[in-house]
Amino acid sequence: MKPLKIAMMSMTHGHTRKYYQVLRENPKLDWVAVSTANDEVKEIFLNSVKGIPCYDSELEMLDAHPDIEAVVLASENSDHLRQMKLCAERGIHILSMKIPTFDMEEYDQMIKLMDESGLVCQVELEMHYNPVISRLKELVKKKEIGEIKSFNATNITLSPVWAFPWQGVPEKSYGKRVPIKEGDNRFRGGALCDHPHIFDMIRHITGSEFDSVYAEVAPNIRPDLEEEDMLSVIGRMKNGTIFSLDPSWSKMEERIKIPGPGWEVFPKRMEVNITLNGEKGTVMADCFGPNVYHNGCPNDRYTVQYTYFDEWVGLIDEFVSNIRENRTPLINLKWHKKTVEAMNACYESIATGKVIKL
Amino acid sequence: MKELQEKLDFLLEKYSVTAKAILKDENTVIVDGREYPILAHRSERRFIELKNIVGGGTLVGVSVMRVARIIEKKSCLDSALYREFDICQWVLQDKIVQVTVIKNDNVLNAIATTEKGIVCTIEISATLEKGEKPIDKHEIIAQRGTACDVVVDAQLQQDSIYVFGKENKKFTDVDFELFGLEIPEVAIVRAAFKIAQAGGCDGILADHAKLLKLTQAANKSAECGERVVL
Repeated sequence: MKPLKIAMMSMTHGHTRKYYQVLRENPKLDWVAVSTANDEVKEIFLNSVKGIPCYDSELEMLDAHPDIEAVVLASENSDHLRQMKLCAERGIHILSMKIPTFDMEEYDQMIKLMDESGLVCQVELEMHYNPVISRLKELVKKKEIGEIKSFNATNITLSPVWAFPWQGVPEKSYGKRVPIKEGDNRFRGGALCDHPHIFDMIRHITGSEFDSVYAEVAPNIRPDLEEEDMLSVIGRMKNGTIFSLDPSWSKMEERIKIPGPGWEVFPKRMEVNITLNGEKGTVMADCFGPNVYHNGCPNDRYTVQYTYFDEWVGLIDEFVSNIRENRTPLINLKWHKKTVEAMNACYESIATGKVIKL
Repeated sequence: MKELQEKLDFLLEKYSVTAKAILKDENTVIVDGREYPILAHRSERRFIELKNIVGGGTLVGVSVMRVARIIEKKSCLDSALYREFDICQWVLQDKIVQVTVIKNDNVLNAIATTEKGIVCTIEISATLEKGEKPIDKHEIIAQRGTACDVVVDAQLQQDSIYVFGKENKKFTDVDFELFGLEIPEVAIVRAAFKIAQAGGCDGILADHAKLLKLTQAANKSAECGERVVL
Protein backbone atom coordinates (compact mmCIF):
# COMPACT_ATOMS: atom_id res chain seq x y z
CA MET A 1 0.00 0.00 0.00
CA LYS A 2 1.31 3.43 -0.97
CA PRO A 3 2.10 5.46 2.18
CA LEU A 4 -0.49 8.14 2.83
CA LYS A 5 0.90 11.66 2.57
CA ILE A 6 -0.30 13.32 5.74
CA ALA A 7 0.07 16.74 7.38
CA MET A 8 -1.04 18.41 10.60
CA MET A 9 -2.63 21.82 11.08
CA SER A 10 -2.54 24.33 13.94
CA MET A 11 -0.83 22.12 16.56
CA THR A 12 -2.77 23.82 19.34
CA HIS A 13 -4.87 20.83 20.41
CA GLY A 14 -3.95 18.86 23.52
CA HIS A 15 -3.67 15.68 21.49
CA THR A 16 -1.10 17.11 19.06
CA ARG A 17 1.87 15.43 20.69
CA LYS A 18 0.10 12.04 20.61
CA TYR A 19 0.63 12.02 16.86
CA TYR A 20 4.36 12.69 16.81
CA GLN A 21 5.41 9.08 17.32
CA VAL A 22 2.72 7.40 15.26
CA LEU A 23 3.12 9.73 12.29
CA ARG A 24 6.85 9.07 12.23
CA GLU A 25 6.76 5.33 12.87
CA ASN A 26 3.71 4.05 11.00
CA PRO A 27 4.99 2.67 7.66
CA LYS A 28 1.62 3.41 6.07
CA LEU A 29 2.26 7.15 6.49
CA ASP A 30 4.51 9.73 4.94
CA TRP A 31 4.47 12.76 7.25
CA VAL A 32 4.89 15.63 4.83
CA ALA A 33 4.52 18.86 6.80
CA VAL A 34 2.86 20.80 9.59
CA SER A 35 1.44 24.29 9.86
CA THR A 36 1.40 26.03 13.22
CA ALA A 37 -1.14 28.52 14.51
CA ASN A 38 1.29 30.66 16.51
CA ASP A 39 4.94 31.07 17.46
CA GLU A 40 4.50 29.35 20.81
CA VAL A 41 3.28 26.02 19.37
CA LYS A 42 5.80 26.35 16.54
CA GLU A 43 8.64 26.49 19.04
CA ILE A 44 7.26 23.51 20.98
CA PHE A 45 6.95 21.53 17.75
CA LEU A 46 10.44 22.40 16.51
CA ASN A 47 11.88 21.40 19.88
CA SER A 48 10.01 18.08 19.79
CA VAL A 49 10.24 16.87 16.20
CA LYS A 50 13.08 17.26 13.74
CA GLY A 51 13.04 17.05 9.98
CA ILE A 52 9.39 17.83 9.25
CA PRO A 53 8.82 21.09 7.32
CA CYS A 54 6.93 23.57 9.50
CA TYR A 55 4.91 26.45 8.04
CA ASP A 56 3.38 29.53 9.64
CA SER A 57 0.31 29.35 7.44
CA GLU A 58 -2.02 26.55 6.36
CA LEU A 59 -2.27 27.91 2.80
CA GLU A 60 1.48 28.18 2.51
CA MET A 61 1.79 24.54 3.56
CA LEU A 62 -0.92 23.30 1.22
CA ASP A 63 0.51 25.28 -1.71
CA ALA A 64 4.00 23.98 -1.05
CA HIS A 65 2.80 20.36 -0.78
CA PRO A 66 -0.02 19.76 -3.28
CA ASP A 67 0.54 16.03 -2.77
CA ILE A 68 -0.91 16.11 0.78
CA GLU A 69 -3.72 13.52 0.91
CA ALA A 70 -4.89 13.86 4.49
CA VAL A 71 -4.67 16.32 7.35
CA VAL A 72 -4.96 15.97 11.12
CA LEU A 73 -6.86 19.05 12.29
CA ALA A 74 -4.99 19.49 15.57
CA SER A 75 -6.76 22.75 16.28
CA GLU A 76 -9.13 24.49 18.63
CA ASN A 77 -12.81 23.65 18.13
CA SER A 78 -13.64 27.10 16.73
CA ASP A 79 -11.29 26.55 13.77
CA HIS A 80 -12.61 23.19 12.63
CA LEU A 81 -15.27 24.25 10.11
CA ARG A 82 -12.97 26.74 8.38
CA GLN A 83 -10.20 24.16 8.12
CA MET A 84 -12.60 21.46 6.92
CA LYS A 85 -13.71 23.78 4.11
CA LEU A 86 -10.09 24.44 3.22
CA CYS A 87 -9.34 20.72 3.04
CA ALA A 88 -12.53 19.85 1.17
CA GLU A 89 -11.76 22.43 -1.52
CA ARG A 90 -8.50 20.63 -2.17
CA GLY A 91 -9.80 17.07 -1.90
CA ILE A 92 -7.91 16.37 1.32
CA HIS A 93 -9.19 13.74 3.77
CA ILE A 94 -9.66 14.80 7.40
CA LEU A 95 -8.96 13.43 10.84
CA SER A 96 -10.99 15.72 13.09
CA MET A 97 -10.35 16.23 16.80
CA LYS A 98 -12.89 14.75 19.23
CA ILE A 99 -15.28 17.72 19.08
CA PRO A 100 -15.88 18.90 15.49
CA THR A 101 -18.14 21.70 16.83
CA PHE A 102 -20.86 22.25 19.44
CA ASP A 103 -22.84 24.47 17.06
CA MET A 104 -25.33 22.08 15.45
CA GLU A 105 -25.84 24.32 12.40
CA GLU A 106 -22.09 24.27 11.84
CA TYR A 107 -22.18 20.53 12.44
CA ASP A 108 -24.73 20.04 9.67
CA GLN A 109 -22.59 22.18 7.35
CA MET A 110 -19.67 19.86 8.06
CA ILE A 111 -21.76 16.78 7.26
CA LYS A 112 -22.97 18.36 4.00
CA LEU A 113 -19.45 19.35 3.07
CA MET A 114 -18.15 15.84 3.55
CA ASP A 115 -21.12 14.18 1.86
CA GLU A 116 -20.69 16.38 -1.20
CA SER A 117 -16.92 16.00 -1.36
CA GLY A 118 -16.90 12.23 -0.90
CA LEU A 119 -13.89 12.61 1.38
CA VAL A 120 -13.16 10.63 4.53
CA CYS A 121 -13.74 12.56 7.75
CA GLN A 122 -12.93 10.46 10.78
CA VAL A 123 -13.47 11.79 14.29
CA GLU A 124 -10.66 11.14 16.73
CA LEU A 125 -12.25 9.13 19.54
CA GLU A 126 -9.32 7.04 20.57
CA MET A 127 -11.08 4.96 23.23
CA HIS A 128 -12.36 2.77 20.40
CA TYR A 129 -8.79 1.50 20.02
CA ASN A 130 -8.28 0.75 23.72
CA PRO A 131 -7.79 -2.95 24.61
CA VAL A 132 -9.76 -2.73 27.87
CA ILE A 133 -12.71 -1.43 25.89
CA SER A 134 -12.31 -4.34 23.46
CA ARG A 135 -12.48 -6.78 26.41
CA LEU A 136 -15.47 -4.95 27.90
CA LYS A 137 -17.32 -5.19 24.59
CA GLU A 138 -16.55 -8.89 24.44
CA LEU A 139 -17.90 -9.42 27.97
CA VAL A 140 -21.08 -7.53 27.10
CA LYS A 141 -21.50 -9.49 23.88
CA LYS A 142 -21.18 -12.77 25.81
CA LYS A 143 -23.79 -11.46 28.29
CA GLU A 144 -21.39 -12.15 31.15
CA ILE A 145 -23.56 -10.07 33.53
CA GLY A 146 -26.80 -10.40 31.61
CA GLU A 147 -28.69 -7.38 30.39
CA ILE A 148 -26.95 -4.09 31.21
CA LYS A 149 -28.90 -2.08 33.77
CA SER A 150 -26.53 0.82 34.39
CA PHE A 151 -23.40 2.28 32.82
CA ASN A 152 -21.39 4.42 35.22
CA ALA A 153 -18.20 6.02 34.00
CA THR A 154 -15.57 8.60 34.74
CA ASN A 155 -13.56 10.54 32.19
CA ILE A 156 -11.68 12.72 34.63
CA THR A 157 -8.44 14.54 34.03
CA LEU A 158 -6.40 17.49 35.11
CA SER A 159 -7.29 20.74 33.41
CA PRO A 160 -5.34 21.32 30.21
CA VAL A 161 -6.06 25.05 30.00
CA TRP A 162 -2.64 26.21 31.20
CA ALA A 163 -0.91 24.27 28.42
CA PHE A 164 -3.66 24.68 25.82
CA PRO A 165 -5.14 28.09 26.59
CA TRP A 166 -7.91 27.95 23.97
CA GLN A 167 -9.67 25.35 26.14
CA GLY A 168 -10.17 28.06 28.75
CA VAL A 169 -11.76 30.46 26.26
CA PRO A 170 -15.52 29.80 25.82
CA GLU A 171 -15.58 31.15 22.24
CA LYS A 172 -12.80 28.80 21.16
CA SER A 173 -13.86 25.74 23.11
CA TYR A 174 -17.66 25.90 22.99
CA GLY A 175 -17.83 28.21 19.97
CA LYS A 176 -19.57 31.09 21.69
CA ARG A 177 -19.95 32.70 25.11
CA VAL A 178 -23.01 31.15 26.79
CA PRO A 179 -23.55 31.58 30.55
CA ILE A 180 -23.64 28.21 32.27
CA LYS A 181 -26.79 29.20 34.21
CA GLU A 182 -28.55 32.25 35.55
CA GLY A 183 -26.72 33.92 38.40
CA ASP A 184 -23.49 32.02 37.71
CA ASN A 185 -20.45 33.84 36.33
CA ARG A 186 -19.14 30.80 34.45
CA PHE A 187 -19.62 29.93 30.78
CA ARG A 188 -19.97 26.73 28.74
CA GLY A 189 -16.75 25.35 27.31
CA GLY A 190 -14.89 23.68 30.17
CA ALA A 191 -14.50 20.10 31.33
CA LEU A 192 -17.59 18.82 29.54
CA CYS A 193 -16.24 20.02 26.18
CA ASP A 194 -13.01 18.12 26.82
CA HIS A 195 -14.58 14.75 27.60
CA PRO A 196 -16.88 13.28 24.95
CA HIS A 197 -15.48 9.75 25.32
CA ILE A 198 -17.86 8.35 27.90
CA PHE A 199 -20.85 9.88 26.08
CA ASP A 200 -19.61 8.06 22.99
CA MET A 201 -18.72 4.80 24.75
CA ILE A 202 -22.14 4.34 26.33
CA ARG A 203 -23.73 4.47 22.86
CA HIS A 204 -21.10 2.14 21.50
CA ILE A 205 -21.30 -0.43 24.31
CA THR A 206 -25.06 -0.44 24.92
CA GLY A 207 -25.99 -0.06 21.25
CA SER A 208 -28.64 2.41 22.36
CA GLU A 209 -29.19 6.17 22.06
CA PHE A 210 -29.68 8.83 24.73
CA ASP A 211 -33.23 9.23 25.96
CA SER A 212 -32.80 11.79 28.75
CA VAL A 213 -30.05 13.58 30.66
CA TYR A 214 -29.83 15.53 33.89
CA ALA A 215 -26.67 17.44 34.82
CA GLU A 216 -25.48 19.56 37.72
CA VAL A 217 -22.48 21.83 37.77
CA ALA A 218 -20.53 21.95 41.04
CA PRO A 219 -18.41 24.81 42.41
CA ASN A 220 -15.16 25.07 40.46
CA ILE A 221 -12.04 23.67 42.09
CA ARG A 222 -10.20 26.29 40.03
CA PRO A 223 -12.21 29.40 40.91
CA ASP A 224 -10.23 31.56 38.47
CA LEU A 225 -11.46 29.59 35.42
CA GLU A 226 -14.40 31.18 33.61
CA GLU A 227 -15.68 27.76 32.49
CA GLU A 228 -17.04 24.81 34.44
CA ASP A 229 -14.51 22.29 35.75
CA MET A 230 -16.72 19.99 37.91
CA LEU A 231 -20.00 18.47 36.81
CA SER A 232 -22.07 15.32 37.15
CA VAL A 233 -24.49 13.77 34.69
CA ILE A 234 -27.16 11.09 35.10
CA GLY A 235 -29.82 9.87 32.70
CA ARG A 236 -31.36 7.05 30.73
CA MET A 237 -30.77 5.44 27.35
CA LYS A 238 -33.65 4.52 25.05
CA ASN A 239 -33.23 0.82 25.93
CA GLY A 240 -33.74 1.62 29.64
CA THR A 241 -30.09 1.49 30.73
CA ILE A 242 -29.44 4.27 33.22
CA PHE A 243 -26.11 6.03 33.53
CA SER A 244 -23.94 8.25 35.68
CA LEU A 245 -21.13 10.08 33.92
CA ASP A 246 -18.39 12.22 35.41
CA PRO A 247 -16.59 14.31 32.78
CA SER A 248 -14.84 16.66 35.24
CA TRP A 249 -11.41 18.20 35.44
CA SER A 250 -11.18 16.80 38.97
CA LYS A 251 -7.45 16.00 39.04
CA MET A 252 -5.47 19.04 40.14
CA GLU A 253 -2.42 20.08 38.13
CA GLU A 254 0.59 22.36 38.18
CA ARG A 255 -0.01 25.27 35.83
CA ILE A 256 2.79 24.42 33.41
CA LYS A 257 2.88 25.48 29.76
CA ILE A 258 4.21 22.26 28.29
CA PRO A 259 2.78 18.94 29.51
CA GLY A 260 5.43 16.70 30.98
CA PRO A 261 6.80 15.27 34.22
CA GLY A 262 5.60 17.21 37.24
CA TRP A 263 2.25 18.13 35.70
CA GLU A 264 0.37 16.31 38.46
CA VAL A 265 -0.60 17.74 41.83
CA PHE A 266 -3.03 14.88 42.40
CA PRO A 267 -0.96 11.74 41.79
CA LYS A 268 -3.01 10.55 38.82
CA ARG A 269 -3.52 12.85 35.85
CA MET A 270 -6.28 10.97 34.08
CA GLU A 271 -8.83 8.19 34.53
CA VAL A 272 -11.42 6.47 32.37
CA ASN A 273 -13.18 3.90 34.53
CA ILE A 274 -16.37 2.15 33.51
CA THR A 275 -18.66 0.13 35.77
CA LEU A 276 -21.34 -1.92 34.10
CA ASN A 277 -24.08 -3.22 36.38
CA GLY A 278 -26.19 -5.97 34.90
CA GLU A 279 -29.02 -8.21 35.94
CA LYS A 280 -26.50 -10.91 36.92
CA GLY A 281 -23.48 -9.00 38.17
CA THR A 282 -21.05 -6.12 37.77
CA VAL A 283 -18.00 -5.46 35.62
CA MET A 284 -15.54 -2.80 36.78
CA ALA A 285 -12.96 -1.61 34.28
CA ASP A 286 -10.00 0.75 34.48
CA CYS A 287 -9.12 1.57 30.88
CA PHE A 288 -5.56 2.69 31.62
CA GLY A 289 -3.50 0.34 33.70
CA PRO A 290 -1.87 -1.36 35.45
CA ASN A 291 0.66 1.39 35.99
CA VAL A 292 3.90 2.10 37.82
CA TYR A 293 4.51 4.71 40.52
CA HIS A 294 7.32 7.02 41.59
CA ASN A 295 8.05 10.01 43.75
CA GLY A 296 11.02 11.31 41.84
CA CYS A 297 11.82 14.43 39.86
CA PRO A 298 10.79 17.13 39.38
CA ASN A 299 8.51 17.54 42.43
CA ASP A 300 9.22 14.43 44.57
CA ARG A 301 5.46 13.77 44.65
CA TYR A 302 3.96 10.29 44.52
CA THR A 303 2.85 10.00 40.90
CA VAL A 304 1.11 7.48 38.66
CA GLN A 305 3.26 6.81 35.62
CA TYR A 306 1.12 5.40 32.83
CA THR A 307 2.39 2.30 31.08
CA TYR A 308 0.02 2.12 28.15
CA PHE A 309 -1.13 4.83 25.77
CA ASP A 310 -1.18 3.30 22.31
CA GLU A 311 -4.69 4.16 21.15
CA TRP A 312 -3.37 6.33 18.32
CA VAL A 313 -1.72 3.33 16.64
CA GLY A 314 -5.05 1.62 15.92
CA LEU A 315 -6.77 4.91 15.20
CA ILE A 316 -4.30 5.88 12.47
CA ASP A 317 -4.29 2.37 10.97
CA GLU A 318 -8.05 2.59 10.60
CA PHE A 319 -7.87 6.11 9.17
CA VAL A 320 -5.42 5.01 6.46
CA SER A 321 -7.51 1.93 5.61
CA ASN A 322 -10.67 4.02 5.39
CA ILE A 323 -9.01 6.30 2.84
CA ARG A 324 -7.29 3.61 0.80
CA GLU A 325 -10.31 1.31 0.78
CA ASN A 326 -12.83 4.15 0.42
CA ARG A 327 -14.70 3.15 3.59
CA THR A 328 -16.86 5.28 5.85
CA PRO A 329 -15.18 5.53 9.27
CA LEU A 330 -16.95 3.88 12.18
CA ILE A 331 -16.66 7.19 14.02
CA ASN A 332 -17.90 9.53 11.32
CA LEU A 333 -19.55 12.92 11.67
CA LYS A 334 -23.09 11.51 11.47
CA TRP A 335 -22.47 8.88 14.16
CA HIS A 336 -20.81 11.39 16.45
CA LYS A 337 -23.55 14.02 16.07
CA LYS A 338 -25.79 12.29 18.63
CA THR A 339 -22.96 12.30 21.17
CA VAL A 340 -22.48 16.04 20.74
CA GLU A 341 -26.24 16.57 20.99
CA ALA A 342 -26.26 14.71 24.32
CA MET A 343 -23.41 16.89 25.59
CA ASN A 344 -25.33 20.01 24.56
CA ALA A 345 -28.34 18.61 26.42
CA CYS A 346 -26.19 18.46 29.57
CA TYR A 347 -25.54 22.18 29.26
CA GLU A 348 -29.26 22.77 28.74
CA SER A 349 -30.04 20.72 31.84
CA ILE A 350 -27.53 22.71 33.90
CA ALA A 351 -29.08 25.96 32.66
CA THR A 352 -32.71 24.96 33.27
CA GLY A 353 -32.46 22.54 36.21
CA LYS A 354 -34.61 20.13 34.19
CA VAL A 355 -34.23 16.60 32.89
CA ILE A 356 -33.76 17.03 29.12
CA LYS A 357 -35.39 14.58 26.70
CA LEU A 358 -33.48 13.84 23.53
CA MET B 1 -26.72 -10.90 66.26
CA LYS B 2 -25.73 -13.10 69.22
CA GLU B 3 -22.00 -12.49 68.78
CA LEU B 4 -22.56 -8.78 68.32
CA GLN B 5 -24.73 -8.62 71.45
CA GLU B 6 -21.97 -10.41 73.40
CA LYS B 7 -19.41 -7.86 72.20
CA LEU B 8 -21.79 -5.02 73.09
CA ASP B 9 -22.36 -6.49 76.55
CA PHE B 10 -18.59 -6.76 76.96
CA LEU B 11 -18.17 -3.05 76.23
CA LEU B 12 -21.09 -2.08 78.46
CA GLU B 13 -19.62 -3.99 81.35
CA LYS B 14 -16.03 -2.87 80.78
CA TYR B 15 -16.98 0.80 80.70
CA SER B 16 -19.60 0.48 83.49
CA VAL B 17 -22.50 1.63 81.38
CA THR B 18 -25.68 1.07 83.33
CA ALA B 19 -28.17 1.47 80.48
CA LYS B 20 -29.65 -1.73 79.14
CA ALA B 21 -28.92 -2.07 75.41
CA ILE B 22 -30.29 -4.79 73.15
CA LEU B 23 -29.45 -5.10 69.47
CA LYS B 24 -32.75 -5.68 67.68
CA ASP B 25 -31.14 -5.99 64.27
CA GLU B 26 -28.17 -4.46 62.45
CA ASN B 27 -29.98 -1.13 62.12
CA THR B 28 -31.69 -0.81 65.51
CA VAL B 29 -30.73 -0.83 69.18
CA ILE B 30 -33.15 -0.71 72.10
CA VAL B 31 -31.76 1.35 74.95
CA ASP B 32 -33.73 1.21 78.19
CA GLY B 33 -36.80 0.20 76.24
CA ARG B 34 -36.58 2.88 73.54
CA GLU B 35 -35.65 2.07 69.93
CA TYR B 36 -32.92 4.01 68.15
CA PRO B 37 -31.61 3.74 64.61
CA ILE B 38 -27.94 2.84 64.84
CA LEU B 39 -26.56 4.60 61.72
CA ALA B 40 -23.61 2.25 62.09
CA HIS B 41 -21.64 3.76 59.20
CA ARG B 42 -20.98 6.82 61.38
CA SER B 43 -18.83 4.56 63.52
CA GLU B 44 -16.75 3.23 60.62
CA ARG B 45 -13.30 4.70 61.02
CA ARG B 46 -12.96 5.58 57.35
CA PHE B 47 -15.98 7.86 57.53
CA ILE B 48 -14.85 9.36 60.83
CA GLU B 49 -11.51 10.21 59.19
CA LEU B 50 -13.12 11.56 56.01
CA LYS B 51 -15.32 13.76 58.23
CA ASN B 52 -12.25 14.96 60.11
CA ILE B 53 -10.43 15.69 56.84
CA VAL B 54 -13.35 17.77 55.59
CA GLY B 55 -14.20 19.48 58.87
CA GLY B 56 -10.66 19.89 60.15
CA GLY B 57 -9.48 22.06 57.29
CA THR B 58 -7.34 19.48 55.49
CA LEU B 59 -9.54 19.94 52.43
CA VAL B 60 -10.38 23.49 51.44
CA GLY B 61 -13.35 24.44 49.26
CA VAL B 62 -15.21 21.16 48.81
CA SER B 63 -16.89 20.91 45.41
CA VAL B 64 -18.08 17.34 44.93
CA MET B 65 -18.63 14.11 46.85
CA ARG B 66 -18.78 10.96 44.73
CA VAL B 67 -20.20 7.71 46.08
CA ALA B 68 -20.55 4.29 44.49
CA ARG B 69 -21.85 1.23 46.34
CA ILE B 70 -22.50 -2.28 45.07
CA ILE B 71 -24.50 -4.60 47.32
CA GLU B 72 -26.09 -8.06 47.29
CA LYS B 73 -28.79 -8.86 44.77
CA LYS B 74 -32.32 -8.24 46.00
CA SER B 75 -31.07 -5.81 48.67
CA CYS B 76 -33.23 -2.76 49.30
CA LEU B 77 -32.01 0.16 47.17
CA ASP B 78 -33.83 2.67 49.38
CA SER B 79 -31.95 1.47 52.47
CA ALA B 80 -28.68 1.79 50.58
CA LEU B 81 -29.60 5.28 49.41
CA TYR B 82 -30.61 6.26 52.99
CA ARG B 83 -27.17 5.14 54.16
CA GLU B 84 -25.29 7.04 51.47
CA PHE B 85 -27.39 10.19 51.97
CA ASP B 86 -26.45 10.08 55.63
CA ILE B 87 -22.78 9.48 54.89
CA CYS B 88 -22.70 12.46 52.51
CA GLN B 89 -24.48 14.79 54.95
CA TRP B 90 -22.53 13.59 57.97
CA VAL B 91 -19.09 13.64 56.35
CA LEU B 92 -19.72 17.03 54.76
CA GLN B 93 -21.64 18.35 57.80
CA ASP B 94 -24.07 19.79 55.31
CA LYS B 95 -27.71 19.26 54.39
CA ILE B 96 -29.02 17.93 51.07
CA VAL B 97 -31.59 20.35 49.68
CA GLN B 98 -32.40 18.91 46.26
CA VAL B 99 -32.19 15.50 44.65
CA THR B 100 -32.65 13.87 41.26
CA VAL B 101 -32.87 10.08 41.03
CA ILE B 102 -33.11 7.63 38.16
CA LYS B 103 -33.88 3.96 38.82
CA ASN B 104 -33.78 0.81 36.74
CA ASP B 105 -34.72 -2.44 38.50
CA ASN B 106 -31.70 -3.30 40.65
CA VAL B 107 -29.76 -0.05 40.11
CA LEU B 108 -30.15 3.64 40.80
CA ASN B 109 -28.17 6.82 40.20
CA ALA B 110 -28.68 10.08 42.04
CA ILE B 111 -27.39 13.63 42.05
CA ALA B 112 -27.99 15.63 45.22
CA THR B 113 -26.99 19.18 46.05
CA THR B 114 -26.30 20.45 49.56
CA GLU B 115 -27.12 23.76 51.16
CA LYS B 116 -23.52 24.91 50.58
CA GLY B 117 -23.77 23.95 46.89
CA ILE B 118 -21.70 20.77 47.08
CA VAL B 119 -22.81 18.26 44.43
CA CYS B 120 -23.07 14.62 45.56
CA THR B 121 -23.38 11.79 43.07
CA ILE B 122 -24.54 8.43 44.35
CA GLU B 123 -24.43 5.25 42.25
CA ILE B 124 -26.02 2.14 43.77
CA SER B 125 -26.40 -1.33 42.34
CA ALA B 126 -27.62 -4.60 43.82
CA THR B 127 -25.74 -7.12 41.73
CA LEU B 128 -23.50 -9.14 44.06
CA GLU B 129 -24.06 -12.80 44.84
CA LYS B 130 -25.38 -13.68 48.30
CA GLY B 131 -22.64 -13.52 50.91
CA GLU B 132 -20.39 -11.17 48.93
CA LYS B 133 -19.18 -8.17 50.87
CA PRO B 134 -20.36 -4.77 49.61
CA ILE B 135 -17.97 -2.86 47.34
CA ASP B 136 -17.91 0.87 47.71
CA LYS B 137 -16.00 4.09 47.26
CA HIS B 138 -16.40 7.55 48.78
CA GLU B 139 -14.43 10.45 47.35
CA ILE B 140 -14.47 14.14 48.19
CA ILE B 141 -12.94 16.61 45.75
CA ALA B 142 -12.04 20.12 46.80
CA GLN B 143 -10.22 23.19 45.54
CA ARG B 144 -7.38 22.11 47.75
CA GLY B 145 -7.15 18.36 48.04
CA THR B 146 -9.02 15.14 47.39
CA ALA B 147 -9.92 12.56 50.03
CA CYS B 148 -11.01 9.00 49.33
CA ASP B 149 -11.45 5.63 51.02
CA VAL B 150 -9.88 3.79 48.06
CA VAL B 151 -6.22 4.12 47.22
CA VAL B 152 -5.24 6.10 44.10
CA ASP B 153 -5.23 4.11 40.84
CA ALA B 154 -7.18 1.20 42.35
CA GLN B 155 -10.77 0.11 41.92
CA LEU B 156 -11.17 -1.77 45.19
CA GLN B 157 -10.29 -1.27 48.83
CA GLN B 158 -7.26 -3.04 50.25
CA ASP B 159 -7.26 -5.73 52.93
CA SER B 160 -4.75 -5.99 55.79
CA ILE B 161 -3.74 -9.62 55.32
CA TYR B 162 -3.72 -11.84 52.25
CA VAL B 163 -3.12 -15.56 52.65
CA PHE B 164 -2.18 -17.57 49.57
CA GLY B 165 -2.29 -21.27 50.27
CA LYS B 166 -4.49 -24.21 49.46
CA GLU B 167 -7.35 -21.83 50.10
CA ASN B 168 -6.81 -18.13 49.53
CA LYS B 169 -8.02 -15.92 52.38
CA LYS B 170 -7.95 -12.30 53.39
CA PHE B 171 -8.45 -10.53 56.69
CA THR B 172 -9.04 -6.96 57.73
CA ASP B 173 -9.02 -6.48 61.51
CA VAL B 174 -9.50 -2.94 62.71
CA ASP B 175 -10.52 -3.08 66.37
CA PHE B 176 -8.44 -4.70 69.10
CA GLU B 177 -11.24 -4.67 71.68
CA LEU B 178 -13.69 -6.21 69.23
CA PHE B 179 -11.16 -8.52 67.56
CA GLY B 180 -12.75 -11.05 65.25
CA LEU B 181 -15.55 -8.85 63.97
CA GLU B 182 -15.74 -7.58 60.39
CA ILE B 183 -15.64 -3.81 59.81
CA PRO B 184 -19.44 -3.40 59.43
CA GLU B 185 -19.99 -5.52 62.57
CA VAL B 186 -17.53 -3.44 64.55
CA ALA B 187 -19.42 -0.35 63.41
CA ILE B 188 -22.75 -1.77 64.60
CA VAL B 189 -21.42 -2.58 68.06
CA ARG B 190 -19.55 0.70 68.42
CA ALA B 191 -22.56 2.74 67.28
CA ALA B 192 -24.96 0.89 69.60
CA PHE B 193 -22.51 1.27 72.48
CA LYS B 194 -22.21 5.00 71.89
CA ILE B 195 -25.99 5.43 72.05
CA ALA B 196 -26.19 3.30 75.19
CA GLN B 197 -23.30 5.16 76.79
CA ALA B 198 -25.16 8.44 76.24
CA GLY B 199 -28.32 6.92 77.64
CA GLY B 200 -30.09 7.40 74.31
CA CYS B 201 -29.80 10.00 71.56
CA ASP B 202 -32.60 12.30 70.42
CA GLY B 203 -30.38 13.78 67.72
CA ILE B 204 -30.16 10.47 65.94
CA LEU B 205 -33.95 10.13 65.97
CA ALA B 206 -34.27 13.57 64.38
CA ASP B 207 -31.65 12.68 61.76
CA HIS B 208 -33.48 9.44 61.02
CA ALA B 209 -36.75 11.28 60.43
CA LYS B 210 -35.03 13.72 58.04
CA LEU B 211 -33.35 10.85 56.19
CA LEU B 212 -36.69 9.12 55.70
CA LYS B 213 -38.05 12.35 54.23
CA LEU B 214 -35.04 12.63 51.95
CA THR B 215 -35.46 9.04 50.77
CA GLN B 216 -39.14 9.75 50.07
CA ALA B 217 -38.10 12.78 48.01
CA ALA B 218 -35.68 10.57 46.09
CA ASN B 219 -38.48 8.14 45.29
CA LYS B 220 -40.69 11.00 44.20
CA SER B 221 -37.95 12.15 41.84
CA ALA B 222 -37.51 8.65 40.44
CA GLU B 223 -41.26 8.47 39.81
CA CYS B 224 -41.78 11.91 38.26
CA GLY B 225 -38.44 11.98 36.42
CA GLU B 226 -37.56 15.46 37.66
CA ARG B 227 -35.46 17.11 40.34
CA VAL B 228 -37.16 17.43 43.74
CA VAL B 229 -36.33 20.43 45.90
CA LEU B 230 -36.79 19.88 49.63
